[in-house]
Amino acid sequence: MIASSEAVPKNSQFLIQKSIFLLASSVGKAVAETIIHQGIQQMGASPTTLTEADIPGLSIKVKPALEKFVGEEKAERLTSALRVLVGGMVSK
Amino acid sequence: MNPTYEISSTSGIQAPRKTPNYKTWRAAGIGAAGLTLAFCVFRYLTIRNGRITFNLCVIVCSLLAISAMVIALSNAKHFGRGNVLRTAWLLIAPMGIVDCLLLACYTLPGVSAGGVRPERETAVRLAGLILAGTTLSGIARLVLAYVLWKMIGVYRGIAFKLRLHTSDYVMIVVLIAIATISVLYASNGISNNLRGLAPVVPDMMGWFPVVDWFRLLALSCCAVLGVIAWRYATDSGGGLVAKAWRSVLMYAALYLGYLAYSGLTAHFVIRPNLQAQPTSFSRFLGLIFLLVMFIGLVGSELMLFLGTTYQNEASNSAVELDAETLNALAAADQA
Repeated sequence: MIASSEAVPKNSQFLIQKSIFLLASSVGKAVAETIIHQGIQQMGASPTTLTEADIPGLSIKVKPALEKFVGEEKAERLTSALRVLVGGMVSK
Repeated sequence: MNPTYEISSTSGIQAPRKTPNYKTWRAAGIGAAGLTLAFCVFRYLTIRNGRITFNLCVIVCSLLAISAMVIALSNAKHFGRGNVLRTAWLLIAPMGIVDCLLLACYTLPGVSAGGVRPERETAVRLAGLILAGTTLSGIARLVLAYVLWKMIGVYRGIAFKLRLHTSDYVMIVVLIAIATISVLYASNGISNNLRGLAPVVPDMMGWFPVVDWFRLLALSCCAVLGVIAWRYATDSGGGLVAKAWRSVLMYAALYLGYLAYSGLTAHFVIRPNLQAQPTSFSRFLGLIFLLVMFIGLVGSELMLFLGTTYQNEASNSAVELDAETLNALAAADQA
């Protein structure tokens, strides 16, 4: 595992914003927002208490919705990017 | 098997393979359409040969439609079996080709005025071919309505809210009005295009309005569902998928506009002035007709081509955001 940049804030809202921006160029900002919030809801988590540790779980939850818009391969790329760039993890 | 990704602190995630340069693809499509328009206008102003420009339009449309078909089939491959968009892109793929085949039929010898009038047997075959092409075009619009219905279902599937505005209802009414005009006057457009055939097979000409009423049904479904899909795409907040669907919708709207316009001009401009001597004003009208025909015809196929490239980019491109940019974007949005 590698940590993401230490200089930036890591509150839950910031993590959600980063996740939305990551998906926005493909599916649009409003759709990305809907998908991310649905994923958080499905995890049983709250948008206010989301941490970096929740991101791998979130990436699994958002993948089926992303596949509907961009296909399996790109959804895999986007969720890998979510884990690495937002969750601060290295995908093997 | 999932692809592996290279990770670096500066570039984030890199694609496992090189993705095409979509901007170049789109620039090539727009450039080809622009050059053809310039050439058509030049030919019209210097030679005034409408047949050459129409044939050139059909060739450019065909090239764009073939490219769109190849890319649309590639788009379908990115979606797994059972995925709605896989079916959608498989159904969209041949649509441009269907339009072009119909247009190509009008360029066959003996169909339009000016050539040698065909024998009855040949004329029946040609009229049957064009009738089949027109029916196929109607079926393609019905299929497009089904595709739009499915795409709307994808947005509804993620509980994305639909907020129709007053302008959307106005647009539905306008599009249905254009569809009705296209059907009411389409027979004039067809009669004008089939000036070589119509006197030989008058009995077959009655079938064209029947086919056009079926096309009105399909076009009306497309208009309603198209506006809803447009609203979903607009409200999705940008993104390549929205661009793709808006381009597909523009394709449908421009082609509809072309049908209505060609029918109207055939009824009000061309038919009353068939025997008249060409004047400066009629030549000016001819140039306007050429430009609108070009925008409707080549523009529609260009939009289909652009739509397929946007979806291909959405499904195939690398994730280009790096960690620093992502942090900066999110921080700016939070501030």
